[in-house]
Amino acid sequence: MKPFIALSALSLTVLLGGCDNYPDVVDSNSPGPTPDSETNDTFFNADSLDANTVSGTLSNDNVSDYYKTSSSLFNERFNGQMTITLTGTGGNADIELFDSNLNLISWSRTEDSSEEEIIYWYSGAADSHRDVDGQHYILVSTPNGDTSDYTLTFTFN
Amino acid sequence: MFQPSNLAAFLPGLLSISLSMSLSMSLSTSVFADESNNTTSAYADPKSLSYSSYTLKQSAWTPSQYVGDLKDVVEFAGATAHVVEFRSPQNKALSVDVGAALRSNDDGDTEIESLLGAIEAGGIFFRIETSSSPGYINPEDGQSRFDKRYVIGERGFDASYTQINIGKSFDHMPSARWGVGYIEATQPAEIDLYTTGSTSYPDVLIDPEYQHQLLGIWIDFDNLQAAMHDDDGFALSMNRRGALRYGWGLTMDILFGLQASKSNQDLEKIVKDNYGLDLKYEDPMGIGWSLTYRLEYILAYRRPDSNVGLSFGIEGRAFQGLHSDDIFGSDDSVDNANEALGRLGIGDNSIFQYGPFVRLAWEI
Repeated sequence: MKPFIALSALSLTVLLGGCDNYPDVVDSNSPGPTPDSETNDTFFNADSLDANTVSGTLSNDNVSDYYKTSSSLFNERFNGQMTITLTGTGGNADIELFDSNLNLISWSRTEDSSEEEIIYWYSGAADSHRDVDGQHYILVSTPNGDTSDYTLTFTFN
Repeated sequence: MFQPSNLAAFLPGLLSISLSMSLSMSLSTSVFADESNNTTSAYADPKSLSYSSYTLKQSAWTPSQYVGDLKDVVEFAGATAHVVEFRSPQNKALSVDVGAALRSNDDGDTEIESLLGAIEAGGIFFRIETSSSPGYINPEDGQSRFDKRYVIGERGFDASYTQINIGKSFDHMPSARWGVGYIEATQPAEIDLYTTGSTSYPDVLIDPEYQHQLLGIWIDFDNLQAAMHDDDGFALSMNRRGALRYGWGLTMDILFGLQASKSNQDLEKIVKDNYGLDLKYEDPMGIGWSLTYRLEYILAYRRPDSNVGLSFGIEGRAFQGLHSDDIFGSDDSVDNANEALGRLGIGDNSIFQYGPFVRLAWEI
């Protein structure tokens, strides 16, 4: 009987030891990694869109530029239509709009060098609970590596 | 990825070859003789007969049948499936088994959902089954966007299931087979993302086409055929009244062995580009099992040179696994605000499918 109890206790210990499946996470108040201000080629390094208009250049060596909207452009109580327009000279360029979870929510991808436009109904109430109010990301990209000087305009109607 | 259009090109050819073989065999009736007693059975040897069946069932890939942590965001179109199967007589050196499932969705579109092919030669049985279905990942009902979830790549995906079996029949139970099996399943999965939380990060990454592979020992029972042949079955309780057989049965297909799961996405680059974090992630391994069952009521009618069977009930599939971290725990940790840890959730490697079916089979 005693060996059986010992074996059962050992088995239970091993089983319980295997039940702690969650990783150890340090409780840290540090702000996390710092974006590279020299480039805006990823979501993390996206340039802050502090003004309604910004200009840039796409090429074969720089096929995408990422921008993020700052809270100064958004009123968390605003509900209305916002328009994102891409104009420029040169080759084909497209725009895509992402939410704060980096999920694609809208896009404009015409195949030529025509003007691109996204019209999106923005709901401030839906974002009011988020840590970064109104945070959206805009990707300006060239699918073919075309050289294009562009102007990105962002407005609320 | 499963390409129904490519494999479908071979189906008409395979069906025509098998049908020709069946017709040539059915023109003559073979009688099984017991040489030791010098007596003749009243029924033809089942192995001399060709086998055909038609099954109507709720499609294997529908929203109500997808069970797991992603049930609230994964969608498939509702559909019914029509499954046809044909097998040439098994008393020849080479026997061929082919089948296909056509899926009709609510929009009236029809596509090939699965293909089944098997060859038996020299007593060794080889079988392959494939199925697939498109799906879409949407935010939860009533939500306009995902909450703390990041979907990698496109929201549209193709779920797929492939099973390959190699084995042989049991000597004393011809309707049962055993051997080695391999399953490859692709479907959405959630990867839990652990961070220090000082900045707002998503809690999970959704990989729309996460892959699971299972290799192990396989065993299979087909009670409808056992009832049609008066053979022993598995959990089969049949009654007789003249040429009629009727009763309940539990047809099963079981596979147990080693499971490996993986993401085909570059998760480290995605997390680095999106959030600037250094991701620690390893594709998990462990043990897994697959159980395909059919709880059915069987009606069979035996004639001297042919058999007819009808079964109806519930069929389903459970495909699950336990990875090493789930069993033995983990030493993984997030040590600073520049790190992130990704782990497949315990409920995200499962496939549960079930639904009603009706199957009609005949042997001539």
